[in-house]
Amino acid sequence: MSVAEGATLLLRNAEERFTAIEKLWGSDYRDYAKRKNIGGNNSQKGTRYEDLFLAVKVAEMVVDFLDDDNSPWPSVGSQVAGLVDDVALYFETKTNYFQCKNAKSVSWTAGARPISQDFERQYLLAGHFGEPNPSTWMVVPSRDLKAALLANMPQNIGSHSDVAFFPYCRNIFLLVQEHEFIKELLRPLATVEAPSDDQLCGVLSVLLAGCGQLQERCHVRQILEWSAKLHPGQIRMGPASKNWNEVLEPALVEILAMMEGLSYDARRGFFSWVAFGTSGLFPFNCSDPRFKEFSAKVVENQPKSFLELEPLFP
Amino acid sequence: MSSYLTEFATRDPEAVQLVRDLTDLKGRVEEYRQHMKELGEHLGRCVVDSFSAEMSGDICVVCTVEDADFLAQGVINTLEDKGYGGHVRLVCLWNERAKANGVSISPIVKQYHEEFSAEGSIFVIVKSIISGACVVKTNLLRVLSFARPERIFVVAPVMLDGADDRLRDEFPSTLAESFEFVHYVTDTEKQGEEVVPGIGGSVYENLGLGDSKEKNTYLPHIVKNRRARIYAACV
Repeated sequence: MSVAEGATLLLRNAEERFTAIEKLWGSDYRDYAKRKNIGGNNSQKGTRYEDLFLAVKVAEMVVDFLDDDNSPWPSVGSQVAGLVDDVALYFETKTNYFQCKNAKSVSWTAGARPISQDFERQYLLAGHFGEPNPSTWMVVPSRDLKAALLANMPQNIGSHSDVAFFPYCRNIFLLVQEHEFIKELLRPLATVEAPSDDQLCGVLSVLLAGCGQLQERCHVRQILEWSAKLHPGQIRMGPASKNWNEVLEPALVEILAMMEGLSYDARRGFFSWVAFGTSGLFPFNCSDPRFKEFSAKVVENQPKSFLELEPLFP
Repeated sequence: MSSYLTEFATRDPEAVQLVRDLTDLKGRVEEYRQHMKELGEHLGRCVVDSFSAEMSGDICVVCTVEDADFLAQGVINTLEDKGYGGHVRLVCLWNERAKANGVSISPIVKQYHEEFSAEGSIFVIVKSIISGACVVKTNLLRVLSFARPERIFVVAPVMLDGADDRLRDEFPSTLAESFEFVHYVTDTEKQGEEVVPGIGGSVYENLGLGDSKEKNTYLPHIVKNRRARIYAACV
């Protein structure tokens, strides 16, 4: 599928999808899908498990695509009109639908509307719209439950379904502190080379806030831009491959080089500094007019020591 | 509006009076600063009283820029008076505050950090008021990246009801169970973002440090002085 076709998919509205559901499985099923979607939207603020999973998925995609100039960014959906609707990821070559169940036990087949039926029909619906390589995922908070669900997966969904583990935590602070894989994921997105845990919480917090802007679907790059704008200085915006130190004005670099006790770093696009037990981060990236203004102020004032430079920081 | 006193308050009526007086000191910056320093001295006594005779580790006083010269200086005065001056290490943090789409953050934009031992240290987190605990949780997590302390004191004249639980909720239970809260008054009401009667409004403004943005341009005297003692080039 081309990027243009992908963009068309992105524009496909909820009503069109509900109409397709009715055409395929009748008005009862359409009503059921609508109720599911309304329920999702109404409770979105409180459904932290889904929210944190979405923010982490967005982080994964930002990590994968921020440094890749050649591949088009994927899109993400939340509470999409459909049957497996918590999170949807739309790549150029695949489409992943996730249902999050923060529960101790989950059954594929129990109830009047079994999950396996939703998974089967979501796959068919994606096929109806020509989405590339659709897959359906169950997300659960326990590895044992994941193993049990994999072992008991009904045959009719086995070819396109999978189960993922995602830990349940009450908040971002706990998620970061208790799970090393989350720290590993977030480290490349921080604005400093060796981020502390509070800075990693900052990365995930801004992505969570950025996801709050999401109306059904949008490009992941858009979420990154919202996130960076909502809380500047928390998340890296540009590729790591770029030599950001070269963005600094040569006159600024010359002044800083003469300064005893000062070290600085702009490798991630943000200017951070350390001197005499004191350290800081300029909250806007090195291409931002506010950083350029600071740089010009330093060049104009020609500080000879850190004590003369320090008052020039914002 | 209602508030209630803690066990520390019943043992120290003078400290309670200092808290009550804060609400009448709007616009009287020097008196407000002095009251905060004295409150810090009282809170410092509560902390020292709980030290065991064998206490020998570093005492890491962690504060925000606005509290450094006043409340935190008071706590440090007491530690020095009681003979612990050589153990004191200061971490001062400059926080921003932001809220969007229901997500609140208090990122640290600048820090002053004196080295302290990773083993056997005591953290004393000092804050003029604890409400949502957003700043305290961020600052505590930052210093936890330097060391795992033996004890963690969270010290404030006033706390909003439930702030202790909100802070504990953000940390693994084994760590959260070790938090030792020291405060005098628990207030139960907020008007907008402000706890009432609390400490009489915006602490930055009452201390004469401007608004939430201006206070981050302030370099506390305590930081200047201690830094100059440690680094000869910073005089």
